[in-house]
Amino acid sequence: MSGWKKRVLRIDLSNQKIENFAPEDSLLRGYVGGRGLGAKIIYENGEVDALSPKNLLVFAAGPLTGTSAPASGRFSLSTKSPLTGTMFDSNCGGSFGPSLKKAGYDAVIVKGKAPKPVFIEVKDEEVEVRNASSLWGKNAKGTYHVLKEKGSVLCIGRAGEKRVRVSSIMSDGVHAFGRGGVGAVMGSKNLKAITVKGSGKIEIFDRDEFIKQRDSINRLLIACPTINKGLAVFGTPFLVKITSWMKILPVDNFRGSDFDPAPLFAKKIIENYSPLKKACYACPIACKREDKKGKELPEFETIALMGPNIKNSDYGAIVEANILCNDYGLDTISVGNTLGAYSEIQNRLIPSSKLVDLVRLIGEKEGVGKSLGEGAKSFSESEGFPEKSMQVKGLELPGYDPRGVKGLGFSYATSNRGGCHTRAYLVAPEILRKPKAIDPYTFAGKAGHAKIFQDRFAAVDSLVVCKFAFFGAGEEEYAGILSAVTGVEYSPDDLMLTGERIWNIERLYNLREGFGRVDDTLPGRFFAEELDDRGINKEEFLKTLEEYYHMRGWDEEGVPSKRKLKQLGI
Amino acid sequence: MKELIKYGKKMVGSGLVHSHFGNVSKRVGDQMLISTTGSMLDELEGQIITVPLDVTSPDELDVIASSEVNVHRTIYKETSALAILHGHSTYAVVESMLFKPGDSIVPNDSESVYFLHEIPVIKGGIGSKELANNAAKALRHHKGVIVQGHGTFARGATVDEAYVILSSVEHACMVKYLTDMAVLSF
Repeated sequence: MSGWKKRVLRIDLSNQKIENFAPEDSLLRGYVGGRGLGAKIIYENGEVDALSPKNLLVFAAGPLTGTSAPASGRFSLSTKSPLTGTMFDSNCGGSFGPSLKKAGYDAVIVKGKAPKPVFIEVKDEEVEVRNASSLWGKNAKGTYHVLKEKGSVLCIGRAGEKRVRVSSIMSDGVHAFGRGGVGAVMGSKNLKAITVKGSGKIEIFDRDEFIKQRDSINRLLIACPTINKGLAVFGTPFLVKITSWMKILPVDNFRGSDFDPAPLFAKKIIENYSPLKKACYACPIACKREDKKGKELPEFETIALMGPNIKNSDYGAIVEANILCNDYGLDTISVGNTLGAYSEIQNRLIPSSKLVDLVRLIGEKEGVGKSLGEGAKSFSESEGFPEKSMQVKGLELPGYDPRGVKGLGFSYATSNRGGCHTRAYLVAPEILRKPKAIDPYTFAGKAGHAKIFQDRFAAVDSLVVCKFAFFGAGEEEYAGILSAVTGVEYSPDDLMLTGERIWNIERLYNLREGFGRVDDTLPGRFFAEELDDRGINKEEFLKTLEEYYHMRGWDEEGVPSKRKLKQLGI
Repeated sequence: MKELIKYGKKMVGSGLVHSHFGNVSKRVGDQMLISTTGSMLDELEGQIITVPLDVTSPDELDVIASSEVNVHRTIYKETSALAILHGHSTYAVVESMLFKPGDSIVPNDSESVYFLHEIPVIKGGIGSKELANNAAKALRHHKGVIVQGHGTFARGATVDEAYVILSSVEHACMVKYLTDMAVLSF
């Protein structure tokens, strides 16, 4: 078996014990890597409090990581989320994943809690837990600048240190494990950063076949209109105009549509900022953008949630808020969404000039920022208006109104990590019409679409490959390149089955934590209030949920059957 | 917009194309109304978007526009067209494969000869620059062209005129094909 390093680094911060172990071949074959490997480890760690030393942080690469397989530079983090209480995975670009593989590891598992602030330094075989007292108190960019000579850098900002529940972990200063409050988990362990430098190579089983598959995928990506007319030209903000045309851009905490988003359109940004393109490792798409001074520019989700969702058309204010979020290590989706709830509950708009101040308060856990930083659900409940939080299982919704994209909305409801668009990524067929356009305005067929796409992207997150590659390529191509790298024959069906296995083990974890059918739903607003003559019929939604459980081989309460678990080898 | 919806339905209803096999557009000043990619021609309500005509200034909505969006743009730039209909009409596709790119199909029914004179056959991949340039060049002097193995592009001063041309090309190709078959069987 090539591709994998067959070595996992395990560090207990409580006693600074550092050890390696070799995962069994069957574990790697069955869960592949990234999210899959993380899910299995987190499940087996049992029930823990998210901010206790017993919780784990599993940073995992995949068998393709570190190769030149297209869009394979991402890596994954699994843990229990302090925001949602669910199993949580997140994936992130930057150079950390490839560096980790080159240092000789498939994954790093961190547990325990250091008595004082520390950072972990990995340099091939050498691994040290080092004093980070001088770094504690710094934000992400400052930390990155101090540590960058040591290689790739993962770190938290002040928000993670203060255990803000919407805090993130930053990679190389600008890439983020954004969602779920994972920064707080790192902060709870007194772990400021991890650096890694690797000098090894990734072994490829069949290089000729690998090059053939790689070139074929690259051709598909370059020929795909979503990439060559969208992401490669505008970056993710091209979605602002498309979602606006579809009337699914959230306005005023998902309440209204009387907002002109034109100043936030990608074309306008290009005119005003002449952005430069940035790419992750091994990525031909290059969707990230920065200004001429090298400052990162916001992604679509950030623009949607900090723009229309709080009725703000001041792009400059969003740019500054985005930079500050990244510096503090804060999830821009959760922050923007929670500010929408704040604005609605206060019954007044947030002036764009106050946006940066509010971000700072959240990052510092001061004033109103203390409760806002707990996330929309907790904040709205504490204010006495639980119905005003636009979240599922505690995770704030992203930038697409589910009333106009029913499959995507359904996938929010059934997502294992809460209100997230990337679990099934039905953005592709329902909004961008790839690989095939499906009608976004109906629930018909969406139970099946949600299941298939959830399984598909659970597998993709385990390779670990960027979802954007799947606008142009599919399971066939990536099963081919995975087989070429590892020497293990994977069919497209094998990948889908792997995805289903991962989805089910995540579900089992959440059931054990007390989640169930009642949590597989959407905020009441979407059932009760129509927008642009679009609503969600509760009966239709529940019927789709029944279909979905049936298709998954789960009972009517959403519990996987023994037969299904046996079939999946769980 | 209503016109495009109406003629999209007519294209499918009259058997000129199946639902997914074509696209429609109309020029409005320096903008163009065009059907979205993957949309069904007989269900175009809510599936028409507006994009700029300028080929050099890409638009975000290009991502969800018909994959032929730049072919339409180039035709509008190079010709006097105000409407374009594109359909993968069966007989036009069959006849185009009996000719080489650069050839022209000469109809043998009187009406088609009168309206179309001849129908150029061109080449080019779907949505490609080659197709855009070849189609625009041919449509400077003709009202309809057939992309080999692909389908017809018809232009008009109105959507109705483009529809007449699309129908005429298919009619001409059907008559020619059936006539040739009849001659062969004798």
